[in-house]
Amino acid sequence: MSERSERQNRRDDAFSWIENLTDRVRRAAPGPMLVRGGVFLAALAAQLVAWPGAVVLGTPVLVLVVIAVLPALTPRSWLVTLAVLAAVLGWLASTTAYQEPLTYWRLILLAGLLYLLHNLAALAAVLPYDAVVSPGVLTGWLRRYGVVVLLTAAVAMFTRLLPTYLPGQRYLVASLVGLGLMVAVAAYLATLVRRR
Amino acid sequence: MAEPIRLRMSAPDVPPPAPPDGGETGLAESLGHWSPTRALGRAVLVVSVLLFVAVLLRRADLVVLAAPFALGAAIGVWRRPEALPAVRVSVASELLSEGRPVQAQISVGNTDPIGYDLVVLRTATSPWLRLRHSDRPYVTSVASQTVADIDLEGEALRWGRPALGPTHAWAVAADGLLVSDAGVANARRLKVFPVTETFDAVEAMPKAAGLVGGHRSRRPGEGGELAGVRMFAPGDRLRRIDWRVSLRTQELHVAATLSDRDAEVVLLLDVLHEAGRSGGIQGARSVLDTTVRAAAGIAEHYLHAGDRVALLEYGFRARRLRAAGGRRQYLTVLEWLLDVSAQHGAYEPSPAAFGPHTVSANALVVVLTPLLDTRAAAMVARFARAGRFVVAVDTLPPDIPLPVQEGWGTLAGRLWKLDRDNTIGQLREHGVPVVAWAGAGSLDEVLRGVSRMAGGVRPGAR
Repeated sequence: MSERSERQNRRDDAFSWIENLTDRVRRAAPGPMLVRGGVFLAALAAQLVAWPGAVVLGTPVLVLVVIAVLPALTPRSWLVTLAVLAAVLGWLASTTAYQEPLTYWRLILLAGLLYLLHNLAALAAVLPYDAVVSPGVLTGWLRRYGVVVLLTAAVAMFTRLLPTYLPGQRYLVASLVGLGLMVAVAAYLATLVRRR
Repeated sequence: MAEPIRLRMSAPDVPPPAPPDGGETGLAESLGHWSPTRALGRAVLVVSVLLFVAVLLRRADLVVLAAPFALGAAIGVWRRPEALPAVRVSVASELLSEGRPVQAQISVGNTDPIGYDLVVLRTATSPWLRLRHSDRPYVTSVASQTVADIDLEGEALRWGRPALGPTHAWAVAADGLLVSDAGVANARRLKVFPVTETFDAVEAMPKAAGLVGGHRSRRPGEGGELAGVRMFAPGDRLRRIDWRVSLRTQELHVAATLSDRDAEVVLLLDVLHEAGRSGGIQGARSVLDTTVRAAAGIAEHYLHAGDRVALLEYGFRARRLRAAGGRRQYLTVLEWLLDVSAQHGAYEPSPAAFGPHTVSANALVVVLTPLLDTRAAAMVARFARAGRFVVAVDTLPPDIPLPVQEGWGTLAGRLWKLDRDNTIGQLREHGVPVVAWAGAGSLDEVLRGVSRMAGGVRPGAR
């Protein structure tokens, strides 16, 4: 194949890609776009809450914005996991290297935002970008999200108050039991994933 | 967000799908219809990583961060539906005509005691059904043991048997962690009858086949059309005596009438080629559009006049509708026309199937043809040589564009047009009138000519 025809093929591929993209943008429906917007906002808010003030108020915040945009663009990819783990990394950096105080409300807010990011990304992944979405779908989805966040708040309260009521030996046992419970849940879910 | 569809929830009237093994469904069996999504894998990964780091760093706050992922996944998977969504497509009426409104309904049912988070519905629709938002997937939630109905409204754009469906439905449960296999509803075929072209022909049929019918013939006989007054002759009926003329002339005279005759019309549809781009009832016409609508109009006219009409498809399927008359035949003709489609092929359709011997000697043969193929022109010429009364109706759209390209394209297009004009001229030399379809009165002039010819001697008549 001559060099000219290869160039022509590349140009045709580029035009085809642009045409496909413009067609997708033209057909995009408000419902799925609203959900993807929610993914972006949840990811951005999670990064801002997790990372220390020095990072959030400086130039590195642009990297956080990019990390927040990626899950909204590709909610079916591993970039959603990357955004979640980036926020966890920021949280560890805030509470260790930057010595920022670990407050209950900030922890609950971050847990809620991370789960919102995961939850909305899961919704965006199953919604076709051009779908007509009934409003009842979104309200039901957010209602279930609210239930999980309330349970999380209860767990957080439990972990915060438990040490004050239990002596050291019993607290250790309770922590191990709780941890074992979580591991059991993770193992159960992992068996489901393996059945794919 | 706009709400373009109307949803109704009601009790299900669809039977629950049977378990695959016919017995009690365990975890593995129930998951056989459902697949984990990437989100479930992500939840497991995040929980595992956070718990590992929590143990490693002795940080209880990381357990709190992992808690919603674990709780959400555990609750969702624990309370998961097992049944697949049941889908059904229904239409208010399967009998339509072009341009008429279509009312359809897609019903998706959930027979499981646990509701679906959402159901994604995709429906394939014929391009000749313009249904609002039918080119987009629908997403709706379906509660437990209910049916969600989605109304689709629009119009039928073109004759034929357009399909509505099949419809696929995927249910999503456990907050997007599980997605079901597709529930499928088969396609429904509608019958969209062609809009009948207005057609009227005042000229007599060239040759009648029977002694009763709606046409005055050129032969004297019993009928209602006055032919003149003549002397009484043996065999004349007494009620035919014209007493006024008889009294004046002092000799018996009778009123002579022309006999009433019926006739057979054969509509021969050339389906070797489709040309032009059909735009439906409100847009441009293709060859087959003109062919089908004109055939419906001509058949309606002659059937209404009491004649018998037969249809024949000049193609490789050789479909045929035997001659008959009346309202029932008209409905049969419309149904028969729904299946007309272009039949391309390199060979010539068998002359045995389309020879003049297949058509009654007295029948009027109306050939609807775009004259794009010499095979069709040769077939018409064979009918004419055999002495049949043939009229060719040109169905090629007048506004069909010729190729305008660099190089030889334009010239080739002009040559093709000259060749086609030459073919039409040769057919006329064979005595076959060729007329472009123009609705009412299209055939008057040529039928007049054919009727005149019918009065003379036909060398090839059998």
